[in-house]
Amino acid sequence: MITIAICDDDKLTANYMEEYILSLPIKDIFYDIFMTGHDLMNYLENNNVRYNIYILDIEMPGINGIETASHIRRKDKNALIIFSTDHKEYVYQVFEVLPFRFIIKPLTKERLTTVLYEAFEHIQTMGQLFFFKKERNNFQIPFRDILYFEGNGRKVRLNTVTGEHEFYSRLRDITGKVDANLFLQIHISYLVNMEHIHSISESEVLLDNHIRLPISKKFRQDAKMQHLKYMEWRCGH
Amino acid sequence: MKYDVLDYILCAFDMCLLIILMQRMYGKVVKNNYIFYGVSVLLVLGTTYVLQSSGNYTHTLTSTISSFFLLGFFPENRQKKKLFSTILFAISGFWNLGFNHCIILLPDLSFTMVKILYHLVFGVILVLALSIHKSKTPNIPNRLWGLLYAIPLASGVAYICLVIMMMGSAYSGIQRSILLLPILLAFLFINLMVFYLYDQFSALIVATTENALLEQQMEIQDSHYKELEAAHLRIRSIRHDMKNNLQAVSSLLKEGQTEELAEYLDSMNDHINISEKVISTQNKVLDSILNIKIMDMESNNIKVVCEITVPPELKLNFSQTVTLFGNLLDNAKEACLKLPEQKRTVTLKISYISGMLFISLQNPVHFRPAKEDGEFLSMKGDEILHGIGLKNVQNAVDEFNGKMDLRCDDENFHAKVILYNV
Repeated sequence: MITIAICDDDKLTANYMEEYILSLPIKDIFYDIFMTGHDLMNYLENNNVRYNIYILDIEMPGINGIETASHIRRKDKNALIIFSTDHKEYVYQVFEVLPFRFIIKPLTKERLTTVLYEAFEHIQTMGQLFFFKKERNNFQIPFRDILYFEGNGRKVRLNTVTGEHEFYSRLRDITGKVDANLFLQIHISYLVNMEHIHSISESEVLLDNHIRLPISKKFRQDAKMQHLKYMEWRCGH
Repeated sequence: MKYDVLDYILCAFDMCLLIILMQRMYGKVVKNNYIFYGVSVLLVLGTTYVLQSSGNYTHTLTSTISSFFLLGFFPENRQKKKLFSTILFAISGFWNLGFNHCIILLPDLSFTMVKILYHLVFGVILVLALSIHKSKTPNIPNRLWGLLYAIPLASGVAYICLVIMMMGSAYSGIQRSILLLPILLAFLFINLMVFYLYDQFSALIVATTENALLEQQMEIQDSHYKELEAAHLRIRSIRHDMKNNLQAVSSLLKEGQTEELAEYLDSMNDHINISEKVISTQNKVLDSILNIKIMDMESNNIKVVCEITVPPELKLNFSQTVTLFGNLLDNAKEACLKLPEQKRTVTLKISYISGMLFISLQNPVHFRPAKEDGEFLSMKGDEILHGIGLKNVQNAVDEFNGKMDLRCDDENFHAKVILYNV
């Protein structure tokens, strides 16, 4: 199931969004509509709910879309935030909350559908699970939480946003078990999640949480090309 | 049998120096490293064995020739290998001949001493070549290859002529040697200088290319300023027109000619629409270059589809912005102008995610541009300067540790760029 929160003070726009979402040939989409940022934030607080996707109007009376977004982002690192705006200039001060897409008004069905499908694909890709066995217990971790795999002989260390796991396997066997469009080999012993890459320099790859991993000469050019392709997909080009 | 081992050592000595020199000239051996060393050892053993069994001692010239069997292992191009093999051959040849004359002049040296001296001086010559040929340098244009080849060839021919002349003369053996030795050493020196000349030529090429790159960058900045000025003028004339238009509108209104008024307003609307599209990212340099280029393209009936979402504070400076977008958009425009108007659509998308900037530019082409060594050549055609605009783009991309991917099918050219830490 995918949940969407729409927050727009313009009733007409909200109605159009609802109509377009309903016309999608996908069954288990669940959505709520809020008229102000305040309403949305209160609802999130009081009912302790999270949505997968938030479509926020930037320009709203009271708490605007940007403030609402940073509130959401503090609580939920994985939420996909989509801004809708008719003020082109406003758009550009919002990159700290890591927006997923922008919808420039006037809203069109085509644009909304494209953006939503991209969001669904993103959720689906990041939500795939990686299974492994450690001391006879089975574990599963969604791809989105994996920072990188580190191979060390017959052991593999799995680094996630929440912690580390070490289990018996070989890095080359892991390569076959994860999404090749998402995971990138940068070194004979490192396989990283491209979603968490900040930069690639001559000698290292910088990940979230200031993690630095070495990139070897052998993999560098290929890795950069693959990351370019990933960014193309990630930016929806 | 006493000198057997010494022969092997001397041949190995030659081979080691030759291999070091070849690595400097053609780059390190990357593939089949072990086979390379194996073959080298076999060559040393084989050459020495064959020479010994035919009653000879180890020649430096044979060392040089047998080192040529290793050429295939080195990565760099054939042309360079051919030239330097010729030079090495000439140098070894001249040294061999020169040394023969030395022996005639110094008959008292022991045989062992002679052999060691013979290889040692050859070693010194190779070390000299090594110290002259410093940098791993790019290739030089075709016309200069001929010039460099002329040196070993001319000196070889000159030497043969000299020997023939000497044969007919009344000089004794020692006198001949005294005359020929300095000439041979001079020839050897001249050939050695090819290493130096090659370095100088390629340094010159590098400088020329760099100059051309800088010049192109200056040119594109200059044209940006000119376009900026033109844009100001255009805005001024629109303002001026507006005055006149408003006067016309008010007079039509006063006269009550509503139908004409509506028609007039419609036509004005069309006129204003042309300059309606404004990119506003709050990044002044980016805005100005994009607006100017887009306006220019639209006035050439090129449709520009933009999707630009970037923060105002980017680390791209003026020169980098102009180089990147100016060149890419100019290329797109150039390609579009060769096409019928209904096909002229350029799509520019720029996105930003935590420090990374992704640029995608797509334009139609009327035929696939030529590609050489993985680089697209522009159609302007000049031996050194081709594709210089794109090279400048590549340089700007490199400054951000980025990556550029240029692709072309029969209909579209697609440039994708990623920059890090922007």
